[in-house]
Amino acid sequence: MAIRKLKDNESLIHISLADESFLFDEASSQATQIRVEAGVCLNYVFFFNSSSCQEVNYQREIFIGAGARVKTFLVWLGRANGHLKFISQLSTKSSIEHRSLYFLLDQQNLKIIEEHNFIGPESKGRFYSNGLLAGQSQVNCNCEINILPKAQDSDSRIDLKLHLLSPQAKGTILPALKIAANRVRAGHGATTASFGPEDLFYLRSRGLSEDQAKSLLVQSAARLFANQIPDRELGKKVLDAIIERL
Amino acid sequence: MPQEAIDKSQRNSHDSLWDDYDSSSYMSKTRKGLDEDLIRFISQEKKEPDWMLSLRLESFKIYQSLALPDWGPKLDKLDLKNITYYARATDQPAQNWDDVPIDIKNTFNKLGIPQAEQEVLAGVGAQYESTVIYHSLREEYKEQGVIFEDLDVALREHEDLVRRYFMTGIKPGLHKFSALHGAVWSGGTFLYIPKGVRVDLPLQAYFRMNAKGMGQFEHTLIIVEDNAQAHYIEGCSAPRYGADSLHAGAVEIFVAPGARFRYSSVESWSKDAYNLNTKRAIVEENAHMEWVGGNFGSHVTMLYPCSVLKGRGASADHLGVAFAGQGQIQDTGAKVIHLAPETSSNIIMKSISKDSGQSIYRGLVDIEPDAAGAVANIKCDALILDEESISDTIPLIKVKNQSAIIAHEATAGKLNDDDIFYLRSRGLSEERAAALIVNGFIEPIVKELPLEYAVEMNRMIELEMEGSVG
Repeated sequence: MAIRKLKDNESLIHISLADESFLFDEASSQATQIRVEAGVCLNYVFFFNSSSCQEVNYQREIFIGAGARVKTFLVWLGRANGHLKFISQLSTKSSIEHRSLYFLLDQQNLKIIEEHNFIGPESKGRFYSNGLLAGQSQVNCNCEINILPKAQDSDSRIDLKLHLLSPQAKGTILPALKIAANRVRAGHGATTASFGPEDLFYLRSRGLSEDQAKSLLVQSAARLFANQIPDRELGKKVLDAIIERL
Repeated sequence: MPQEAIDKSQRNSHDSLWDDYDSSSYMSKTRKGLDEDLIRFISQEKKEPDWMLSLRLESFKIYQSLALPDWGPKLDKLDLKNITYYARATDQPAQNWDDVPIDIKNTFNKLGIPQAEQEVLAGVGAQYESTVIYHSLREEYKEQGVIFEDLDVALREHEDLVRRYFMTGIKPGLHKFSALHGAVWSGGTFLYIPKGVRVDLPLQAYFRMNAKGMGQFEHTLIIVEDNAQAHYIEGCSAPRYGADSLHAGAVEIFVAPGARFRYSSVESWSKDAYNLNTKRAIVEENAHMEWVGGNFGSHVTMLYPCSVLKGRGASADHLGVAFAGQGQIQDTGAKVIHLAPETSSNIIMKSISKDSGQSIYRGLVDIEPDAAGAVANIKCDALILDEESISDTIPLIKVKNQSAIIAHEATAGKLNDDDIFYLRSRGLSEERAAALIVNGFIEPIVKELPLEYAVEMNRMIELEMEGSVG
């Protein structure tokens, strides 16, 4: 599958049937709109891993046409503090599978706002967010699903997971559902924990220190995320970048 | 019937229970609006100590300096200048039901209060407008040192105890309506359970706003000493006039080490009332607090009972159900602040929206840095019964300790067609089938209420469900 890279400062992209269906975005533009035409399939990866410490601010908005199917992957690494806003608009019978992973170090501070708007009927969305917070890092993650009145028979779910890897890390998560239609399935789940106590106990019983055990569990979470990226090479790039942080 | 009263024929049968009202001759002695003179008048009439007047005046200053909340339902239509902040319906509370004025007695008789007292309650309090009109407690509990009093009376007879706790759990500066409450509070309940005393039967207070455009600001202060145990129930109602009324009460509960306390409330304010109530419990080491709540009435409700888990091993359960019908916004939820290690909380909320009603779950679980090993579980379910209704779920989770475990789960959906079909195949009408399913939906909350209240809540759901399908 050919991968199209987002160009510097590219603010509007149309994805039609004739275009490549894989878009790779290395945070080269501050604000970008992506319009996915009806019936198109798109894979999209947003990958932030700048070594600069300068505070950054990004916004991505994706319009998903009728019957289109989109898979999105947001990866936030790097050193900078930042704001990331991601908005999706789903038309009739469209779908999105959205995964995000952020791994913050030291005193890094990230604010994520996600808004997923179900506009047309029979649209479907699955949203998975996984946060790994080390050092004194902090995250504030607001993830909101809006089911508008015409989005009858829509099906949506958010799952947010937050892992605090150090005693000084802090996180705030808000998985909100706003529903103005009655024939819907909507749900959200959120968990926060260091890691499963049983998993940690098992690994420690095999002779690993607590840090080694946590490192292994972080690698496992990263591998699960990277394996979902349909391009193997890009998946490996993401995985390597995460493991390098360990 | 007053000109402004709504034609009773337009009300559904649920409303008609609450909407009967009595003439309010005492209202001729009141005025609308709030200023320092009124606050001084309230304090003087109640013969309060100086510290209470100072607290009222300080709260009034804070109230004037604070803005309305910039989140949640819009409150800009609430005309605070047109509220009657204080009205005394009787000269003093009665200890004997026969001494209660006949018109007030009629209202409470219709609500079934005296009968419940005789049969299932350890004690009863009843407040009408701004003052308590009746209070009683069974002798056996008096002998064990339990105090169950009108708060105005408690302020005279147990001043030190009241002063130690009053508005320390809910500070006047918490928000605009807690400040307003601090300035004009009147009546309410004082409950003191001594160390190790277990009150097996529930105690109940009933609050009634009767006159048009009233504000009710009762204060409930509950102190449960070490290893004591009790259950307290509050019921609330008001008739509908087509003019805004305001309820901004406060409930402060202090649960000492090892104690267990359950607070249940069924709020059925009229559908033109603003219910902006504040409830908070401070829970000490190995103590347990349970909140069980049903919100049915009012035009706008903003109510988020809060547990502050202050001592190691403290725990709290929050169970709630909200029903939002036509013209109603039920913005309710729960707040739990985990301050100490090994604290735990469990929040279960159910909401039902119909006829363009809006139900909102708004919650906070806050795990502070010292709360090592804290565990929190939150579950919210919403039923949306028609295309015009709205349901929002806004659960904020803050974590500042890595060893905390928090799980949140929420679902929203409609009545299941297969369930309706099955019940109809057993001979039930569609309406009856829907009511039965909704009662099943709220069953985990209702089963925590005493039987009489559970039956009442189920009946209220059935009445609210009339005409909802078909």
